[in-house]
Amino acid sequence: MAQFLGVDDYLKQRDALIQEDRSLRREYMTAQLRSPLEVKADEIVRKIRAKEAATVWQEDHPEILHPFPGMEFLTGRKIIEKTQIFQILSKMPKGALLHAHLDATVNVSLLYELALKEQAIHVRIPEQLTAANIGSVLPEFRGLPAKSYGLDGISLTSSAYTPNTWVNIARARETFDTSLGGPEGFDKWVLDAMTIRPDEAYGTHNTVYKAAIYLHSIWRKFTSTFIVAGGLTRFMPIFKQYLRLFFLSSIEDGILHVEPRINFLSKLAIGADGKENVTHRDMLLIYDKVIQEVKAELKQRGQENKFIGARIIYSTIKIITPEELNWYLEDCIALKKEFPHLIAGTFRFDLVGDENELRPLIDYIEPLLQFRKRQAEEGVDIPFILHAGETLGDGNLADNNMYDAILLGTKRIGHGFSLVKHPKLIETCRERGIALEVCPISNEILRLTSSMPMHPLPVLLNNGVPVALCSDDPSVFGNMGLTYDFFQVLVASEVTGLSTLGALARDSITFSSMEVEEKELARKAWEAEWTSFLEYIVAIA
Amino acid sequence: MASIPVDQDNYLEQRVSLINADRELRRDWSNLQTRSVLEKEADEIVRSIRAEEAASVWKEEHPDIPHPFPGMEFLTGKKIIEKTRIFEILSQMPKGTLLHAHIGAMVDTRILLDLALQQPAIHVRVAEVLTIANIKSIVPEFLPLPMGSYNLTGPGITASDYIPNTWVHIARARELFDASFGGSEGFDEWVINAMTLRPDEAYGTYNTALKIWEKFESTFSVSCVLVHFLPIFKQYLRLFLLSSVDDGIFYMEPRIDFFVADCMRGADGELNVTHRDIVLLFGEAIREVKEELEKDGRGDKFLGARIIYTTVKVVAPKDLYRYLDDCIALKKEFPHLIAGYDLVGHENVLHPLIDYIEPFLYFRKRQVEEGIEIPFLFHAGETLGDGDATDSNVYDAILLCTKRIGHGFSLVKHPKLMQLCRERGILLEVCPISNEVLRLTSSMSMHPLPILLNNGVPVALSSDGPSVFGNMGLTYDFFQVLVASEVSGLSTLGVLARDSIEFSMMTVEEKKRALLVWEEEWRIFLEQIVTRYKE
Repeated sequence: MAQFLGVDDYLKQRDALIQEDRSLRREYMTAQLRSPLEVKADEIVRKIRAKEAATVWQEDHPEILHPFPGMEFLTGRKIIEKTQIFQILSKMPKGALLHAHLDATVNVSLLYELALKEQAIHVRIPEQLTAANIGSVLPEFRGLPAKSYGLDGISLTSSAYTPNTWVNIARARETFDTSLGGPEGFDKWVLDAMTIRPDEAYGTHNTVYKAAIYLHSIWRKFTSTFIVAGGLTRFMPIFKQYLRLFFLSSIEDGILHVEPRINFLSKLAIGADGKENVTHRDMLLIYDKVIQEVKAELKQRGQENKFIGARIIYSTIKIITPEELNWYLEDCIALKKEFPHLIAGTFRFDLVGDENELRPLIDYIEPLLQFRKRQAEEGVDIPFILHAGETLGDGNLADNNMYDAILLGTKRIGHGFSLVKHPKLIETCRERGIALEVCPISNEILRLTSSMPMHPLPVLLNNGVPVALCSDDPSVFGNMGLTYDFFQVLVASEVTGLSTLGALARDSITFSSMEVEEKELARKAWEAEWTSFLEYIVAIA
Repeated sequence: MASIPVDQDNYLEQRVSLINADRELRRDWSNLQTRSVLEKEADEIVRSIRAEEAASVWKEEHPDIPHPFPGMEFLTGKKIIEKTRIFEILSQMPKGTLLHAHIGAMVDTRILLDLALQQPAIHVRVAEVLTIANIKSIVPEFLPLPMGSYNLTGPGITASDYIPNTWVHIARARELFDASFGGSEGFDEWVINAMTLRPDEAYGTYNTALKIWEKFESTFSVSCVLVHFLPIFKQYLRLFLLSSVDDGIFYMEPRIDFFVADCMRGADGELNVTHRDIVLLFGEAIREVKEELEKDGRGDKFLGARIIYTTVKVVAPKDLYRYLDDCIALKKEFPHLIAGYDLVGHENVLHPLIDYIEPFLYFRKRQVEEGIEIPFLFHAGETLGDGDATDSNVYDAILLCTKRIGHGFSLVKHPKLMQLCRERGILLEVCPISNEVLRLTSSMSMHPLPILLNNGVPVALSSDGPSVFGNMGLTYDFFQVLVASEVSGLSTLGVLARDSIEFSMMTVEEKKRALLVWEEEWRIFLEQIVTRYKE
């Protein structure tokens, strides 16, 4: 037994132990350097958090059985939005968004509005829609050439509807049977197909495990939302407006740089003429153009510091065979050579597939090693930014992807949910500076954790693993921007405070794929915004 | 960029060394290299049965179980668990010792009720006449009465002329339980429900780590009076020891709460049982069970038991001294029966350890003066909190040199503390099913146990409050751990069982004997697996 001279001595040794336990935390190193302003703002936020835990979160809320800070997001969202902490965080400069799938970054209502305005957009279903099947039949969208327009097509709800016939979207909406809610019923049907509802996440689809009999696993629902939305975003006139909305809404939430993953599985997208002839190169040209437009707009308003830029993480899906992968790798190299400033890195493999179900990284080892060689030959550097460990498994294939991601020299890890189980890999991430793109709300809705207090994030933070908070698929989950994810993290820990969130935002810049000069610019812009943000907090207290 | 392997062979080589480096802290790691051919074969058989059952039993449709999977919510999955061959195998496994269990929740509630029904002194009352409308929310209150106060006449507790709060003899209350509530069986069901956690409570009505304690504590308040009636307590201890032995546990260290024990009543219904009487009784129960087993030639199945002296954290720090002095006195008189000291209760709402620092320092000083040693075996970190007072209890437990940590659920958040546990040999008493039912984790797959194992923190699996959760013995907890990981195998469970012996409070000689006995039983167990289950 250690000897204690008395209570004072005990308390001294206790404090030293706590400090030592937290010394690896990334915000700990700068804790002593914090400005008095930040210390004050941090304390104010801690007080508000404690007060709200005892008030807002203790009140009875109709239909919310067990409210608590960090609770299930889809149920708790309404309460979250009422809090002062949420109001404050919505003004916080968030840094960079490093993990988001482009097809799920714009509010579904906005995407739907864009679609309704496009005469080319058509919808079809494999069977006539009825009250009995409306919960399970999903709309399929596509932009068609003018000669194929179905402007006076038969209603999807009519018994005369021929399965799989394309009907113009506005027409389908107008003719939607009143017994199914008429045009509003159509709206609801489409929007539901692109989002996850609480009763799905926490009831019917409440498990991560998927197999033939798990018709209702959460991933099945998740995947279907992408297929529905993908039909719309693949249509270039929508794609262009969609990108613009994505950039602008991110900027509005205080995000100054984005690196969305774009799924390039389809080799061609659909142009304004309804023809499937738009190449990946064309898409990058559009992407570049939209960036320039948004930048120019901001500059006009004197807000150029709000948006430093955007890149792309080239992605495809793990359903392809290792041989097929080679085509994409070459495609990626070609794009990187032409657009070095746009391609940040590569490979999300499992966009519409759960890591637990699809091929493990190790299956692709040959083409991936080949990829490195080809890059050397071509004189380009396209770092891997791999998804790995988005699983509850312990030592299964999905968990073991962590080993491969790190061996392949991944620059960051998407999710890395299972990293906390691996002491050696934690050490590697800390020492080599491999950041984890942690998506708190996504993890919870996809049932890797039941609520934020059960999330392993504190293990990562206390071990000094660099972390950037991300939204993953906000249009599906409803966590638009980064405010909701920052909120969940802040309220579920008493170690974490505003300064921690600041450190997370700083790291999102540090571990982004921006060039050195861009990072410098981004940092400066962020620090200035951070100071005004802290001033705002101190002023409202 | 760190050097990326150049070709596939080189890659695979590096991959193996990385995986090995990642797992080398595991306590089953060295064992993997040295284990016998027999153990390796049995381990492989169990792995293949596990994989087969994951694809069969756990994929079938089960009525009322919407999402079955290995390691799922225990209260819902229990029926499926019991159908598996893995369960059948593990029920035969020699478990080692039971290091974390609360005496008030160790005997199946059905059996406890049967014991109570045989007692003429036990009476029951309710605050209002039981009706269909209130039966779910009203719990029975029991009390042993002095002989002169027995009430063997009068209306039952479901009768409209029942006067609220009138004591009725338990057997009579059962007989008179109205047929519309299921008659006598309805009575049993009502009482048992009040002493256990049902799936709809854990996963519905009380589905948060804070709320579930309302029901959890209510189960104790109902059963507590029955357990703490001396004539029942005696039989209860015996049944606890024997049922543990039947599950392959050969030594236990139950926590007995001496604050709660103050409500222990003698056969005459009076509060006249001392703490010393309780310890004496415990010693007697051990002796009797040993003799009985030796007579059957099963002497090696039970090596003994000790008490962890506990006080519930509702006791104010200034009132703790009395219990600490009491603990010292008992340790001096019964050195072989008192294993250590602990404080218990709902960590999230009761006093944190730091509040008791003065009495603890006093306690250590007194021990030095008396020349005795009563190790701390603290509960700590049974929480989802991050940096709150409850989570911080792990700092105090370790600073106070606890020999083991009860639960330590939040330890995984603390890199320095995990290192200290590994280096100083502080074992965690991990209670997988308890943690899940009490909503610290939603299923075994979400439980942080793999983090502890991969960091080389010593662990013993424990059942905590099995009569409330239904995880009697240790088979269910071993089951949940085995099926929720592909790293852990039978050899891992063997190491956990060995560590439960190593980190018990047995003396050095006792441990030596226990390990010998266990190794022999383990070998027989492995042989059985190979003979019976080899395809």
